[in-house]
Amino acid sequence: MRARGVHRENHVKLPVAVATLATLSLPFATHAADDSADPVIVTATRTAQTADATLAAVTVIGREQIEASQARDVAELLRFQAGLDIGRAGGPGQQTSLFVRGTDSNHVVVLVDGVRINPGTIGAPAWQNLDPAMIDRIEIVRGPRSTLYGSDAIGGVVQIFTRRAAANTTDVNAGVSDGTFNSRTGTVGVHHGGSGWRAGVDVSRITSDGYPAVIGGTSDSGYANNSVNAYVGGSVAGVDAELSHWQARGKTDYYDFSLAPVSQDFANGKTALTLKAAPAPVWATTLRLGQANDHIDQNQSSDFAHTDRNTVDWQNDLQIGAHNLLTLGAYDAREHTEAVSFGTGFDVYTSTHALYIQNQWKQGAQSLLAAWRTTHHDTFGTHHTGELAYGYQFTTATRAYASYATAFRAPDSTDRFGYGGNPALKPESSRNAELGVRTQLSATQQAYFQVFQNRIRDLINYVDPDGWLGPLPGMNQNVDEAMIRGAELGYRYLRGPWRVNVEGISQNPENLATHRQLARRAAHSLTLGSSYTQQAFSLGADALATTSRWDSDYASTRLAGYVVISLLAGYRIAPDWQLRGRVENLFNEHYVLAEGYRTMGRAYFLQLEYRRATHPEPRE
Amino acid sequence: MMRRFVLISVLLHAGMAAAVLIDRQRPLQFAAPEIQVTLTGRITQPPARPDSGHDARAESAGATPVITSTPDAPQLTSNASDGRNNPEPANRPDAAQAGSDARLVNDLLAELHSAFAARFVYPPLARLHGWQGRVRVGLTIEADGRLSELRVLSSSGYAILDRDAMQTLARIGALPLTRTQLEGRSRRLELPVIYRLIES
Repeated sequence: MRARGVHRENHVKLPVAVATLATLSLPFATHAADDSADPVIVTATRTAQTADATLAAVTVIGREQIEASQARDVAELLRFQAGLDIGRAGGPGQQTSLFVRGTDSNHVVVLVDGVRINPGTIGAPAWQNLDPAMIDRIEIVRGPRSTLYGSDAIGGVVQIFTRRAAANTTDVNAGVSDGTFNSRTGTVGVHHGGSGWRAGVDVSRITSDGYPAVIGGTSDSGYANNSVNAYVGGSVAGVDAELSHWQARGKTDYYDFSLAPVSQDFANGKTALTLKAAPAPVWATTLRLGQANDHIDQNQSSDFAHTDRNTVDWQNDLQIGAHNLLTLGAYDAREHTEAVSFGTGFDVYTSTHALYIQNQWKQGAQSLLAAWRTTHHDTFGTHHTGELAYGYQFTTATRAYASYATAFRAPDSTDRFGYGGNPALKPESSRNAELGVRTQLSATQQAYFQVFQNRIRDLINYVDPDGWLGPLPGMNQNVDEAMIRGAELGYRYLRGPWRVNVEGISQNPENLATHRQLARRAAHSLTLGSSYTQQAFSLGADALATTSRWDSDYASTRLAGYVVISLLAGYRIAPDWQLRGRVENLFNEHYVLAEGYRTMGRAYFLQLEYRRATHPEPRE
Repeated sequence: MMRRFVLISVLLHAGMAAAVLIDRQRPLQFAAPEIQVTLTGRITQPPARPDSGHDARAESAGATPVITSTPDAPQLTSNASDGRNNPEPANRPDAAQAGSDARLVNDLLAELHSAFAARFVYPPLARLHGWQGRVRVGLTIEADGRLSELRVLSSSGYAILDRDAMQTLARIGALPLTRTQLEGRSRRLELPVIYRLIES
């Protein structure tokens, strides 16, 4: 049990586990064990759960890094990742979009503890409502993953794992923060891992007066978010069962189209019952029953948008021989979407089911992955997606991969039944080819380089043959096509107290019909993450420099490039107490993420955290 | 589309199988019990340990971490009666005997460790699911160097890790280097194997 405790401890301190350069190492160390025998210690690098880093572009953000970033929502955390563009309609809690590698904001799947939380009304998830206080780890996969994760995974997957108890550990934490715009947070969490069972709860409250979301607005756009993460799990007769629940509820002030200040209530959440078992030594089976909700209720009218989805995901992993891992799965989703917007709306039940298979073979220096998924959707019938990837380890320090994958996005309910609704829409589909190489330059330095080309067809857009003022009604159609070519370069330096991470992306996200750069996506971005930690002190700076982009697909508004720098500091005032501070937008850069909407100028935040983990002696 | 995909996939798998088989020519020879154990390219952090002939082994045996860590108390002791650890040197007939016995056990373990390293692959299923643990394996080294009577003394909690430790030892088959030191006697040993996943 002690070894598993060590594992959880490491887990919490997970660094940016981008690289699994040394796929296998076998140090022969004397283990200060309780018995006199000198053990063989066999180690391998942990793999990300969402995708294998040897065959894809994977970034892992661990708890320690989440805390150090002092991010107040997940979007603030993800903005310093290369290849992720943020669009934001104002300050805290305002609608936020994420564009992965130049794809659309609804081309990314977001999973919380394995349950998809993308709304079915409009595909883009509510990034602004995800409180980092609930989160243990985030895995980001850039590049398509529809074969395992289904619809929307054209640009990538963001998988969020909420906090869990470590084995034989009781962890109590609490924190408060205050800052500009009366931005306050309070969080309390208790986690206990016993022998064979675990349970825990985190609750948090975020409030902010915010600032007027629109330029010219006079009243502040406030925000309040109450979040809870709770779980209980244990092993009985070889089956590990866990019931978990995450929910964020709150209120957002915003400005409507006529620039009147209004507000809406939101609820985002998921509940999951996960059963895991190993019926045979080589067979692991996971059955997950999930429920996800995404509700928005407008307070000044009867407008609303609700998604409730029940999912069943049954995944089986079979090791065949010493080198082959076969995954077989079945997925079923029943989704209820209901919305009213300016008097018109829909109330739709949509069912999707899918079968998927993946085989991953790793032997010696080579890895090969082949995957296939057949999806059946109420609206468009059957759709197939596939993936092939090959990886080669040239030396212990250098490896490369090549992959080809197709992906799709099912038309959401608004596409089919909202304004311009067309129930005959096909899915948007993509073909992505990618090459990547990753190398350990020295003991302290790593670098990676990736090039990709993603061609997306049948993109859904509103088409009105005689213009907005003409008598003929317009309709959503699969008319657009996009081509995104890009290259990503990253460098990481870790030595003693220093950590430096530099990443850049250069891409050309192009609408092939108009030959215009896709809206709100920059051609070039550079990010810098750096920190220096010395005993109780830590200092850090995060920076993002990005070039200009169009505000929309049709207007001629160009949003200028910008540089945002955030300064971070931490001081451990006592073993269990940590004080952190952040200066957001140090140089008070005036930048625009969405035309007409304001962004945060220079702002200050201070937080105090308490965390105590106790490890009762495990029984031998 | 599906047919083309399956065809390409099958071709790639076949290609990789062929490549692996060609690659495997040398390791297959090394895996034969008669052939001296050498590390393969899989090991990224080869520990300081003997990797060549018998004489070199004997000379450099003290340099292995296994032996230098506790040179006078065997990490694994042999006990013909019950196979349990017996670290008390006082139980030995005499000090000289104890010394040579400890040295023999250390040499056996060093060779076992080295052979284990050469064949080891972290089970992909366990790696995917983050399974880790400690397996204690009991085994007998026959007078001719063969490994026999492999059994799990305590489980890691994951059947695939237990099985993997057993299979890896079964593949090792024999310890040809230390065989001559056995002087016609068999030894019982206990070997803990710790499976650990590390962050990159």
